[in-house]
Amino acid sequence: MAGHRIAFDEVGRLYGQHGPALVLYARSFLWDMGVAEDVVHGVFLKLLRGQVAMPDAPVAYLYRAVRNTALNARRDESRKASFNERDCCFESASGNREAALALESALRDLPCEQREVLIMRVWSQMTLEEVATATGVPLDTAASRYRYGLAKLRERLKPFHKE
Amino acid sequence: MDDRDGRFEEFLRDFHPRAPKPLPPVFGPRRPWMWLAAAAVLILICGAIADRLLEERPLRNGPPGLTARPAPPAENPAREASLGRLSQVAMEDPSGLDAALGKASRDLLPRFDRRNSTLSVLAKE
Repeated sequence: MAGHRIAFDEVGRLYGQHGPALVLYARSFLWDMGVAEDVVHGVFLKLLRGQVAMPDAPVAYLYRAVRNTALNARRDESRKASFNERDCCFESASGNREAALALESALRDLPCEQREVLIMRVWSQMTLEEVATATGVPLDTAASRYRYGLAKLRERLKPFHKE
Repeated sequence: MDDRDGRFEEFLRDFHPRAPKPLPPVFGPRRPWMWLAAAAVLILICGAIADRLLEERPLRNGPPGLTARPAPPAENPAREASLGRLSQVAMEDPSGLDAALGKASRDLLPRFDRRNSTLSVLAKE
C-alpha cells in the first residue's frame, strides 16, 4: 500500500463527508461526545499536518484510525462516565428525540463488527464493496454482518418504525 | 436486501449524526526546509539593511571625504578614553589628542593629590 501525502482540500472533503459518521463511530466506543469529537479531530489533524502518510484507501484508514484512537481514549475515560442523554449524537429529521436516543442505544449494543458495517453503509453512504474493502473482509461477510445488524436495529426500533 | 430493508435504511437515514465542530486551522504540513529557507532570507535581509545603514551613516553626518563619525557627547570616562575614541580624535584633530589623553588620564587614573587618596595614604606609609 503506497502511502502519499494528501491535499488539504481532500482532507476537508473527507471531513465534510465522513466526519459526522466517524464521530458517531467513535462515540459508539466512548461515553463522552466531546472525547469522540476530539478523537476524530486528532485523526484528521495528523493528516493535515502530514504526520501520517495517507494510504490508498483513505476512508478505510480513517475508520481504522478512529477505532484505534477511540479504544485508547476509552482506557483514559473515567470509570464513572455514563451515557448522557443531552449528548445524543443523532438529530432526527422528524424531531423524534426519543427515537434518536433509542437508535443510539441500540447501535451501541450491537457487536462492533456489525455496528461499523452499519455506520459505514448507512451514514457514510459507502457501498457494501467499499465496506468490505475498508473492513478487510469478503463481500459476503460484510453483507451478512449488515443484514444481521439491520435486523437487530429493526427489532429494537419497532415502536418508532411502522412497517 | 429486500424492500423492507430498503425502507428501514431510509428510516435510519432520517437520523443524521451531529456534525462535529470544524477542524482547527492548520498551517500546512511540516516542511522544515521551508522554515530554513525563510530564516535564511530573513538573515540576508537584516544583513543587507545593517550594511546599508553603516554605509550611510558617515556620509550623512561627517564632512565630505571623511569617514569618521562625530564624537558623541561624553557620558562616562571609560567610553571617553576608549581606544577607538582616542583614535578618532587623533584622526580628526591631532592637535587635540594631547588634551584628550590628559582628560582621559584625569578621569580614569586615581588622584594622588587629594588628602585621603589611596596614593597619598600609601606614600605616607
